Amino acid sequence: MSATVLPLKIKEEPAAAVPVEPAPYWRVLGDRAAVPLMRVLAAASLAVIAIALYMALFYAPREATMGDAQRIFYFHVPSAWIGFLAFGVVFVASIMYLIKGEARWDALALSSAEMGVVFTTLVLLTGPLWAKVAWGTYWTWDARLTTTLILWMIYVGYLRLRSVADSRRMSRLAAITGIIGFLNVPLIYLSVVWWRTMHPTLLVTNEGGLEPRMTQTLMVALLSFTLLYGWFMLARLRLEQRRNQLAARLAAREG
Amino acid sequence: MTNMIIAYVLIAVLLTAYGASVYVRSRQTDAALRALDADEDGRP
Repeated sequence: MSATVLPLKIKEEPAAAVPVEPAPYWRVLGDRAAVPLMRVLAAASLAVIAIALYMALFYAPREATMGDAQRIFYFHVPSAWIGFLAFGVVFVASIMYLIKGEARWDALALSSAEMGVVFTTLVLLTGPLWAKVAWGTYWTWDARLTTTLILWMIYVGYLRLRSVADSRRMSRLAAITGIIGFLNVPLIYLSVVWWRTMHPTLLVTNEGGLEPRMTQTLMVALLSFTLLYGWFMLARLRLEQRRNQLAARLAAREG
Repeated sequence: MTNMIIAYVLIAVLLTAYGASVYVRSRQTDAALRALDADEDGRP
């Protein structure tokens, strides 16, 4: 009796897929998408900022009464726009976090709040430099200036709150602060309509308002800061995601 | 003219400082994650 030895072939099981990187909060934050996108945004924003700077300094005409100090306006207004946009993102992300309770919305709100504070700081620094020439004083308790300062203080408080403790309860509290803080934005926008204020109202119309080259310069500067916001936001959100990954892994080791 | 230059310099400095802070914090976090990976793999 002969035994037939069948060639035994053990099918090798593929190694269990160990996720090197946990799934990103959003697909755009994954390495394959984020790295090239960040490079494109970085190049585009730096190029458009250079164009905006050239236009602000050489293309836009010199304003008759304020002279060169008026050129502050080309980056002051975009800073305010990005500040409002950033706090708008905080508002939406905070609502989403309170509804869904997902860490990614909390991370989005925190990242955008940081950006909002940076750009509103620029508004509060560049505004007085313009005001000194236009009004003869760096600061006046004008409705728009005061409401902008309050907005900045609310979100500095928001960031301070986030730095004190990192817990789910604190995130919820911060989300409520982020929502309430944003209610100040329409107040700032309408302050020049509702109250007697020294702050100029921006007129970009065909009849009166800004000279066409000034309008073009402002639009390019707005685009440049919007691209910059996109670049910084992507980098900041990726940082927040990695920090949360690190915290989760360290907690898992200790637990 | 002076106020305009100060304003432009402030904008450049603050935005560069913020961008650098995000970069540095990212590098630090990545380094900490890599150290954790190495530790879990038993590598020195």
